[in-house]
Parts: sequence; structure tokens; C-alpha cells
Amino acid sequence: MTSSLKNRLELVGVKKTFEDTFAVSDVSLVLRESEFVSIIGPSGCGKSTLFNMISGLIVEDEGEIRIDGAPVKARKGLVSYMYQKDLLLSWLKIIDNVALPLRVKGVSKKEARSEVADLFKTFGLEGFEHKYPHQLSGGMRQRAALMRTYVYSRDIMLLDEPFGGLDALTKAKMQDWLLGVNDELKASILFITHDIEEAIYLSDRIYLMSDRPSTIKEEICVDLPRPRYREMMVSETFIQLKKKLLHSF
Amino acid sequence: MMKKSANTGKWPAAVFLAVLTALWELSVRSGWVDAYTLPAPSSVIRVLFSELPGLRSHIWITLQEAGIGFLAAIGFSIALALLMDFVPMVKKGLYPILVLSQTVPIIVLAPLFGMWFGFGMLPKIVIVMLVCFFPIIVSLLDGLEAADQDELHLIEGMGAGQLQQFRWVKFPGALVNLFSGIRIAATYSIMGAVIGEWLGGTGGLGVYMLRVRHSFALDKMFAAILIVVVLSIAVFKGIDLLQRVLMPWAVSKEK
Repeated sequence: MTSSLKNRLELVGVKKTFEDTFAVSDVSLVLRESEFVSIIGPSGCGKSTLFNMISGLIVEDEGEIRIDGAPVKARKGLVSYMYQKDLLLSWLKIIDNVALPLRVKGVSKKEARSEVADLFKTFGLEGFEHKYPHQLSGGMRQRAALMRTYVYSRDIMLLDEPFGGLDALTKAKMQDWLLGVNDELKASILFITHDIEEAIYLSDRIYLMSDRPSTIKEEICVDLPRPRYREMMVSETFIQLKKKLLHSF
Repeated sequence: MMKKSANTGKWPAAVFLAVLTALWELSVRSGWVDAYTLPAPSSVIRVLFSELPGLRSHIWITLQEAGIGFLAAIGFSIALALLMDFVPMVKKGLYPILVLSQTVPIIVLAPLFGMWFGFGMLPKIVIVMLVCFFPIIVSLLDGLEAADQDELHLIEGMGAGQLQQFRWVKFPGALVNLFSGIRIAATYSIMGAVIGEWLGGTGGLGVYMLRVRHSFALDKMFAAILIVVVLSIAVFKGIDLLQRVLMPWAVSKEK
């Protein structure tokens, strides 16, 4: 269903070596418009290196990274990156944390605030605009961090295990919440996780990465209809996909 | 609960101080200690009030010297810390010299400053700056160095340059450290001015203390000491207040 949509982000034969060891060896992948794609793989397989390259923090040795079809070298500020830690700055109110990407671009405080104010409802954080991060629960902080990620670049978002630090119940709630929010936002999301169920539940496609030197081992399409709901986790398709992924690991 | 125990935490010190003062008073009144060696607290307080009108101008001079030197030290520390943070070579070159500068006794420097800068307020301001500057810049540099790498990556990914990284992540993160340095410096500031005056000057609490010492008026000396203590505590508390205003997020954390 997604193949007719245009490619937002493309990696072609990307390689990265750190001191003689391959962190990423030959990764090619595609993220299409409004698509939710997960990358799963063993820890330390270079997924974070991959994200650092996409967001322009480190430079690839070989290969090409294309955004909207064109190879881009200076990618800083073009795609947004959300870490497992919420990384909300404790000295800024939630609204200013969320507006931070705009402030960095030189927008005034007043303008930046008014620009992000409407998003608080969508992200379920209404009424918490003027709280400080430590006054929010873990799940809420993660939502605020996602909101900041969205403000930063509403098109292409890289989420690096955003729910990895949350307890199982909060994690489940956040997954449902993310599905709901993205129905509205329609962002293109590249998502790193260790959690097979999470990957299936959230994604349109899943890339399975191998251990170092890491490459894409397999690409799996998730043929589950949207909107998704929790009961799908016990459906035949879901279980078949889970079996397949467990096998490939 | 925390708040309560913190409050009751002040009581033992207050009681202890009261008992000590009472013992002191008693030992002088009973004749155990001569009043000219150690004046009783009550007579110190009495002299304090009788001397206060004449002391005002001295207090004002000391406060000015301490205030100007202290503010200059804060400004200078922040500027230098910024430079040292931006240019690692400057830090490598200057930091050891900073430490070295602290090993030179102020007592020796003060008369030199008198020769260089005269006997007015300037040499005292320079001394205050010298003693205040070090704790401020060291704690600030520590704070800047301890900046969270992930937070820096985050904002770098947003396209922030060095100045923006400093403004959004490094400096606010180091504010706690900056304030602990400023608090130490605040207590030094009054003392630094008094030492400067003591070693040569025409006005200020240090000059006053030197004069009353020459006339063996120990009660006046103690009155002046009391003023120095009160002023130092006032500056300290003022810094606390300022921190609460400038770091509202830390205040809300306490609650």
C-alpha cells in the first residue's frame, strides 16, 4: 500500500567504521511518506550509530543518505532525533523545552511559544505548559520529548527506543498513544526498538538488523490494518509475524 | 517532612550559641575574665549602638568596596570561563596560573597594591576581586565541564553552534555550581575589603578596627566584628534570594 508514496529518507550502501571495526557495514533502507518503520536488532548492533549518521552528528564513510530524493551532506537540523532519555532541559518549562528547536533557529520566545501552544492538546499535555520537567511523570516527559521532536522536524522523525526506559504498563499506554497521535500527525517515523511486539504493533514495515558488522538482514511488511488496537496482538497475522521475527533473530 | 527536619535542624545551633554567649557574659560579670581582655556581650551590644552613627560611613565604604569587587569578580569570572570554555588552549594555559595565583598570600599583596593603586578604594576593590574571583571561576568551570553530553548532542543536532550550546545547555546547567561559588565568594567579599583596609587606608571597617585596637577599646573592636559577621550573613542570604529568583526550577524541586 505504501509503495506508491514517495521516499522521504533513503540510505544507500551506508558504511561506518570506528577504529578498524565496522559499526555499520552496508546498510540500505527506505522510509516513505507517512510511514512507520521499525529497526530491530541485538543491542550494540550499530542502530544508534545509524541514527547519528542520519541526523548528521557523525559522517558516513561510504554510501549515500538521501532526503526527499536528493543526497544531503549537511543534515543537521533536517531530521529530528529522539533518544531513550527524554533529555528535557530541567531549567526550561515544558513549553520552552518543546519550543527549543525554534529558539535555536532564532525565533523569539513569544513567537516560539505561540507556535507550539496548540500542539499540547494533540499530545495530551494540556495544562502542563508551565510546569518544569521534574514535575511530570516518566510517560508525560516522553510525550513532551516526542512533541519537541515533532516541532523540530515534523516530517522525518528518528525515535531511538523512546519507550525503552518505561515500565511495561506505561509503555503499552504510550504505544497506543503514539499510534493515536500519529494518525493525526502523519509523520514519517523511523523507530529503533528491541521489542518485537512493539515493532509489529506500531510499524508498517520492519527492518531486521544483524549483529556487528551490522547490515539489514531482512525486511518484513506488517499486514495489519490501521487503526491498530491491542487485541490485534493475539490475531493470527500478528502471531505469524512474531514467529517469523523470532526465527530470524 | 523534609522541610520540618530542616527547620528543627537550626535549633541546636541557636541554643548552643545562646548558651555560649550566656557563659561568656557570666564569666566576665563574675570577674573570672577581665573586661578589658574580653568585653561582655552586653557591653559589646551597648557600644555597638552608641557607635553606630559614627560607624555608618565606615560601613558604607566597606560595603562599596566589597560590592564593587564582588560584582567585578562575578563578571570577570563569567567572561573568562566563557573564553576558557570556547578555546581549550586558553584553559590549558590559564588554569594552572589561576591556581598558582591563589598561593600568594593576600597579606603580602595588599601593601603592594597600596603602592600601585594608592590608598583609596581601588586597592581594596582589587583585593576583594582577587579573593572572590577564584571560587567563582573554579566552580563555574567545573559546572561547564560537567555538561550532559547527550543534551549537547541533542541541541547540536538541532543545528546549534557553540554559542547556542553554551546559552541553552552549558550555562544554565552550570548555574548551580556558579551559585555555590558565588556564595563562598560572598562571605569572602566583606572580609577581603576589611583586610585591605586594615593594611592601609583612610576609611572603612578595617580602618576603624585598626584605630580601636590602637586605643585598646576591645568592646568597639568586637562591635565591629559583629557588624562584619552580620554584613557577611546578609550578603550570603541575599545571594540565596537571588538564586531563588534566577533558578525557579530548582525552587519548585524543593517543594
